[in-house]
Amino acid sequence: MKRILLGWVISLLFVGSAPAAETYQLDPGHTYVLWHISHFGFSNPSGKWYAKGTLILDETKPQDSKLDVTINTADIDTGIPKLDEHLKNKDFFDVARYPTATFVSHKIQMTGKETAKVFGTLSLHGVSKPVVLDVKLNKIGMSPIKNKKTARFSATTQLKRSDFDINAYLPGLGDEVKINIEAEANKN
Amino acid sequence: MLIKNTENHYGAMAILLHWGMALLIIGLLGEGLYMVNLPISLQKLKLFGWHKEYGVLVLILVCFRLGWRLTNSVPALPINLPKWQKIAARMAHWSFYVFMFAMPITGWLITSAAGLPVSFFGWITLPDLIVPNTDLRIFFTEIHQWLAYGLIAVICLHMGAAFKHHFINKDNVLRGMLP
Repeated sequence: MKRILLGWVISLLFVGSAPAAETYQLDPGHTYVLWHISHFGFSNPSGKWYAKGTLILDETKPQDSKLDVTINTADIDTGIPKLDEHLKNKDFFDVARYPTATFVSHKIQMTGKETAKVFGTLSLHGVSKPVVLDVKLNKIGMSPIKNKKTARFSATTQLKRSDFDINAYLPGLGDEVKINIEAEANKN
Repeated sequence: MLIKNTENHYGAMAILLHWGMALLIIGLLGEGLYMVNLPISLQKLKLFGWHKEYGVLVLILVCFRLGWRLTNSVPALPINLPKWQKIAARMAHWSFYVFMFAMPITGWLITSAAGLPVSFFGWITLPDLIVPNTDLRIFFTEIHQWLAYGLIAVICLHMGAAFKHHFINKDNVLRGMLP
């Protein structure tokens, strides 16, 4: 009897620890990185990039999840074509030389049931530095539009553009950049 | 060549500081004269930003250079040089130190008074020396401007004297500062 019970417990453990990691693709139509910066203290202009990438989501052990995101720096969108052009030139993102920016996670620390700190490396403008995202899971479920399992997240972070050698017009044009991220990922 | 100065030749450090800062300062003077006449534009703002950063670099370098100057002997001037010329040469040299401090500090005061702080190549933002004030901004701008004219005059005198020593007196004064 004892042996049967033990076997049952062990088999249960195995089921419980079955690999639950699933691979999702970030949906570039609903995934963006929105930044805000101080314009000489007068206003706080913003702009965004839509992003693509891969999320390996482990629902049972979310801390084992992985994230890899890429943006094309030339796709910057402020709604102001002249400003977009300025941001693409050598003063700022120098998109001819640095066409992409990436964020790759290397550690996830759960801070609540649906919140986590995602530690990773942001590579931007030829510089790679650690950045921490405060991420909140909004919803996991079937998307009624795509008929695919979909995960939705919101995230925030803050960084200094001088850390990435983007120094033009400092400090009037603020150094601190606030970032809001919205992400929607569809299971493959 | 030695790092430190000797009786008849400047050392490598003094030579590096002399020519490096000469380039930097003459560049800043030229850029400054050019940028102030531009109409307000992003380009002008960018040039002002560079002028401030490199100006701070001069201030940092001159602190080190003054320390180096005070802890080193300097090559002697030619023995047969008239006394007034010896005094004039040393006065010109020390006046450069006054300019090298006064130019960046008045520049810092202008930018503080204008409420446009200085970033040093994105590493740090300098604290403001005074609160924004239009009258003081104009006052320090004028001082900065006249100091620049004075500095240009002393540079011309210094270069003229160096060439006179080299080509007319045919002595070793200029050679003492060459690598």
